[in-house]
Amino acid sequence: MPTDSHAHTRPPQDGSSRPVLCQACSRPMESPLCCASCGALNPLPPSMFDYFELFGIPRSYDLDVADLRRRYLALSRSVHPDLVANPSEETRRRSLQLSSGLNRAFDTLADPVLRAEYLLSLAGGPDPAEDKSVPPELLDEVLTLRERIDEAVQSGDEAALATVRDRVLQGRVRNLERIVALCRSAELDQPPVRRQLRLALNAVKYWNNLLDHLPTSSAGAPEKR
Amino acid sequence: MNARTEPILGIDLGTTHSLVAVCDDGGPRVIRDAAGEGRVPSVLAFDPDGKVTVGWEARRHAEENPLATVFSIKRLMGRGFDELAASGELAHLPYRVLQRASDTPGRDIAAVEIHGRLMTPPELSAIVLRELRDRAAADLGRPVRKAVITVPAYFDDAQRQATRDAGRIAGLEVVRIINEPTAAALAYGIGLRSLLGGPSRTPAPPQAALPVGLSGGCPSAQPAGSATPAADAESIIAVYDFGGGTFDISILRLSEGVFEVLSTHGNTCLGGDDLDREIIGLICREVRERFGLDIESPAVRQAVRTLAENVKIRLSTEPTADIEIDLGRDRIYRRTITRQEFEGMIAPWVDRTLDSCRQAMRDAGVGPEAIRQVVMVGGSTRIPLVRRRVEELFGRPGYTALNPDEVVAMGAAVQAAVLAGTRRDALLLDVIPLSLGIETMGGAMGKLILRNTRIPCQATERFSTFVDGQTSVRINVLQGERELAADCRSLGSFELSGLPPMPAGIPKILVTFLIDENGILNVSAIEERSRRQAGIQVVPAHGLTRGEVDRMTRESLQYARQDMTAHRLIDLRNQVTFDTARTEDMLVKVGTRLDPAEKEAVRREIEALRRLAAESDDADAIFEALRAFDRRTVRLAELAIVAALTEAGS
Repeated sequence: MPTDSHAHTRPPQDGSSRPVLCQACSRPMESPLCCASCGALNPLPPSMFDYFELFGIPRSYDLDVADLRRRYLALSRSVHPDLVANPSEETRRRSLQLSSGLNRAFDTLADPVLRAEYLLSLAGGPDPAEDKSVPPELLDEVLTLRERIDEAVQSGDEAALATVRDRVLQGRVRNLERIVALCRSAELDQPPVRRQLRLALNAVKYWNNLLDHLPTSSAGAPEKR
Repeated sequence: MNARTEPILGIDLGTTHSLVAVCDDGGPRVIRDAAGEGRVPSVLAFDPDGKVTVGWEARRHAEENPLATVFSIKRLMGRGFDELAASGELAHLPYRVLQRASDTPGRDIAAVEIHGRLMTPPELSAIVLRELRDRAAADLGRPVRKAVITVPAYFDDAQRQATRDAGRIAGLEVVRIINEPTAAALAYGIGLRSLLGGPSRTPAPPQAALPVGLSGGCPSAQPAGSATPAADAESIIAVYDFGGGTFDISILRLSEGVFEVLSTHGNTCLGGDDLDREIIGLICREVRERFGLDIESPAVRQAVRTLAENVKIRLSTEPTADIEIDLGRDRIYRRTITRQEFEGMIAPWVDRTLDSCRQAMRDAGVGPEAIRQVVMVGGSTRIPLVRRRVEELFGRPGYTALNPDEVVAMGAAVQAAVLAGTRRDALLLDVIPLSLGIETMGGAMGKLILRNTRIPCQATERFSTFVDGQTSVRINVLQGERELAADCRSLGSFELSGLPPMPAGIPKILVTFLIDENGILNVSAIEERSRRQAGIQVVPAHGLTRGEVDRMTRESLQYARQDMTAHRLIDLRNQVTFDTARTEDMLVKVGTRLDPAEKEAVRREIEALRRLAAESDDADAIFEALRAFDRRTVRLAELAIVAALTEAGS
């Protein structure tokens, strides 16, 4: 049975190993996946690139998602199995590996929480399996809100429900803001800051569960995940 | 398409109808019969001698032959007998569905019994696929071996595997399984939209807006944005696909030739068939009330089914439809159904499609106002209530300018051309419709890949052993959204074997679950210490093993030969009947000109040939005997011709 549910490749500490030469034609590669000179798909050595390098953008929490998407689509066109002409079994396998890695990289960087999680792992963790603790005041707050929701639902008090919904949304936003602030911190490499970020990221699940606990609002804006 | 590139077909294997299309220089086109009809009913009729008819002909005979006419096969694909029985699905089918015997515990495979022979849904679908392939081969004037086949987006892994197996059994290389709504979006986005003068706001046809440099090499890491697409070159569309047996909603972002699925939702057992069943239910109830009669005979049930479908279709254009059924002995059931009444019956089904639409929008993180177009696909989108409800939900009328029956096959043909390398102007980026996971200790579902994750994608998981010296580990793979393993679908079990005997917990096996570009699961495992590939054996819960598919492929070829033989026998026997009758006729007319011994010899020949044709199943022997008979009666034939000429001249 599973012993580790987060067995994704751990990204490296060191991102300065370029330039890389194409394995097929030995010329320097601009994109790390597909050689612009000869079109060969190169295997992605997991120890050499981080996701930011993969897309050719600076390692920073702040990024332009539209720009990231354009880069993702451009890279997809060079590695997606559909567009690899006459694939051998080996090329197809490589293409599947590269495009699934590329998909994961894009999904990670495009999502504000996953991006923060990724930056934390680049900075050296801890990862969620190592430290499951949450900010000390969180549990009380979540329990109180949960009781309020249940009371409002039972009594059918729409106004009270609206109030508690607002509080949940605000609490969630506050937590996200804290995550963003910590990610932008110049001291992200310091263990105390990393631990703060770990706690705030662990809290995300609690806020999302509270949101799921709220009865679906007929007029509410769609929520992602 | 030129002479060197082998054509790849685009096949829409539907619940009620199937179509085949190809893409050539003129764009995608549906292959039609002489009457201009592209749809082939997904219906098979079996004669007791094994001969199969497919399509319209089979459908026409459904009432005479209800137990050996198979339809709605798609609703059985990749599903077990127990779940089909529990869902009530089988009660609606006049033909018999049984559980196929299996020597492996934990497997449950449904099969249809026809004239005492059990056939699995992939084998039955293979017959439809072969018909489509032959139709395409005749049209193109060359053999065809490859196809892209579409499936509902909400099909799970077992249903996708079953579809791919069907292709293999039909002797087709299934180069890709693609989702029906995605195929429809492709057809909508490429060419067709400009051809039909749809509400495109870009002045140039869509192809012109594609970034340059797609045909050779690969783009550099520079953002493709340097191609300066128009501000509105990117748009979000929804595809609402309500077909004969399944419902899908997909939300896509279209930009620069990339079709990116944001989310998908649906129901693989919700379609026009269910709407027909509402009318069937009404008729059966009322016949019972009025005449105290249960409609039980398969033939009458089949007649009612056809009638119900016609009523549904009529009510899309007429305010009312009349029904009349002669139940014999002066009992005639007459009834007028109004559109309003029909809408009342089907509203709950339509509401369920809207629930799926809301869920898909939530998952995509978009609201109705962000969706520029709702493309309507599938025959059930002709129903006025469906169109009204879709308009209410999305705040705009659905886009109905494309033929809802044909657009999926057209899209599949476009994708086939992309895979053949003849066009590179489209890239589909699809998602997995249902979360994938494994059964963890205590019977919970441990999700490894969440629904709506882009494919291809992969997840890895480490496994170890419980007991000292344990050499194999069994993993139950699940698909679904529920928290308990028992509430999700089991795709099958994977058995890791050949582990070196070590103390419990010491071996570390890294298992990779890869969802490939077809949305199909591939599992591989490595023992980390030895870096050795661990052996993995797959036992599909509701599907066929590779060996079973291979056997069925051989059998289907054999049966195809047997069918041919049956066909040929019938033709030869007809020939014998005709030739012997004509010879007897000649004996009467000109027999007097032969000497008695010769005349008697011909009589004996006639008798012998008739006996052979009646008693033998050996087509070759009959064929040889027929040719010998023609040679031996050649003198009589000459005399008959001379006599005929003399008569004419006198």
